[in-house]
Order: sequence, then C-alpha cells, then structure tokens
Amino acid sequence: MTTSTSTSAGPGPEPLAPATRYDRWLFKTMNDARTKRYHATRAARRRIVLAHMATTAVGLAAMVGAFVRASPWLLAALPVALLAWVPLTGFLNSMTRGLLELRVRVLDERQVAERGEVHARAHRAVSWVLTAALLGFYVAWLAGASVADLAVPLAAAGLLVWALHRLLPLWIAALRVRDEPEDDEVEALPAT
Amino acid sequence: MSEHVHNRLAVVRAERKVSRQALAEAVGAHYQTIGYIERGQYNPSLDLALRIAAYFRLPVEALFSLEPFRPLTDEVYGTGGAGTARTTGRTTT
Repeated sequence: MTTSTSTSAGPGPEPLAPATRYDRWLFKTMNDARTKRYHATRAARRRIVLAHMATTAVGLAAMVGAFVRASPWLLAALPVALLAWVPLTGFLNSMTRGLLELRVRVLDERQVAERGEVHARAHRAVSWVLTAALLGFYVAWLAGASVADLAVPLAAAGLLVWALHRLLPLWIAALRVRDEPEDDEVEALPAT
Repeated sequence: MSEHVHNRLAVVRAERKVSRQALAEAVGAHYQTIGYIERGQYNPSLDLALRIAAYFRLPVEALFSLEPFRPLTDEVYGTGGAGTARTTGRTTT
C-alpha cells in the first residue's frame, strides 16, 4: 500500500486521511497479480481496450435503438454486452492498477501525476467532442431542423458524451500503461 | 521539462538484497514506481528520492545524479583497467 505525498514546492503536502479497510481491500484487488499475464504486452492491452470500446458501443447502440424504435426488445442486447463489458472493465482496472478507482490517499506520487495527466487528456478530448456536437446541432437548427427532428440525435449525442466522460479516462490510462519491470531477481535470492 | 535523472537504484537494491516490493512499502511508493525509476522512466520527487536514500542510509547523490554514474568498480578500484571505457565527466573524491 502506498501513501501519497505532494511533489510540489511550497509549504508541503496537506496531510491525507489514513487508508480505510475499504481502501486496503480495493488496493489489494486492483493489484491482484493473477490477471497480470492477460495484459502483459502492449498488444494485449490494446486488444482489451478495443474490445471494451466495442462492447460499450454495442450497449449504447442498444439503448439508442430501443429509444428510436420505442422497442424494449433491443435492450436485450444490453445484458449480453454487459457480460463481456464487466470483465473487460476489470481487466482495464487491473492493468492500470486501479489508477482511477482508488482514492488518492492510496496512490503514490507517480500514480497521482499519471491520474492528473489522464484526466487532463480526457477532458480535452471530451471538450472537443462537446464543441463539435454543439456546433452540429446549431448548424442543424440553422438548416431548419426542429427540436422534434433532433430528439434522437440529441439523445444519442448526450449518451455518447456521457459515456466518453466516464470511460475515456480509463481507455487513455490503459493505453498509457507501460510494460511491467522485468522480474525482480532479488526475490529469487535466499535470505542472508 | 524532463531532465533525465540517472540512478543506481537497481545496483544498490540488488547489492542490499532488497526486493522492489519491500523498498516500495518502506518508502510509501508502488512497486511499479520503483521499477520505473530504475529504468529511468520516472524521475522521483525530491521527497521520494530522499526517502529512498534514507532507507539505504546513503547520501542522495550516491543514488541519484544528473550526470551518468561511473561503474562502481571504477570508483572502488580506480580507472584505467580493461572494460572501463564508459568513463564520464563525473568525478569522485
């Protein structure tokens, strides 16, 4: 378990609350070594991220489709997508070692800095998507589209932006993960 | 601003037979962070560098430097022998 301290110059870091039992449990879960081999290489990590994006897209499409066709049956695709989405999310959290799930007080300085970088990148990307969506709707309104015409695109865009806001940091964090340091030879040495 | 900080952490850690996990727990860092420092992929804060140095009871400059370190054998036995071509401008006293 790590304890975070600020790296900035100045009067020093604010003291952080001690880790709770939940923090310790979550830290242990996020650092479970059993899943390491599934995302040990960059290629494997990319495949997992792409699969997560695909299942997310299926789930979102099911929700929008159910809204457009006013048919709840399309929502049946949602639990199917979730069956793949949930373990994939677990892999993403495992490969990032809980970077976005753990509370700051159990992250170390590198992880805190990485989390800030990931959120900054995601924020920038979502800002551009929001701007593009707003411009698109403005242009559509200028072209004579009514609010009723735009109901479905509005719902779809809203859902997409919400999903991006929630998931883009996780995808970015997963894609930025570097390979684990090679095995620690010291652990193999007998104690002296 | 990504000035590369050279370090001898891997050498000292192996010499003292301290695992990454043990060092990480002692200095309040994640074991991956120790690995990234050793590989030169992360520059520790002054705070963390000092804690690592204190853990090994070494001056921080024995572990971290802005200039490449000379091989330890050169520093212990002097320079000029075979296999000491990797000398640098860093001097020892």
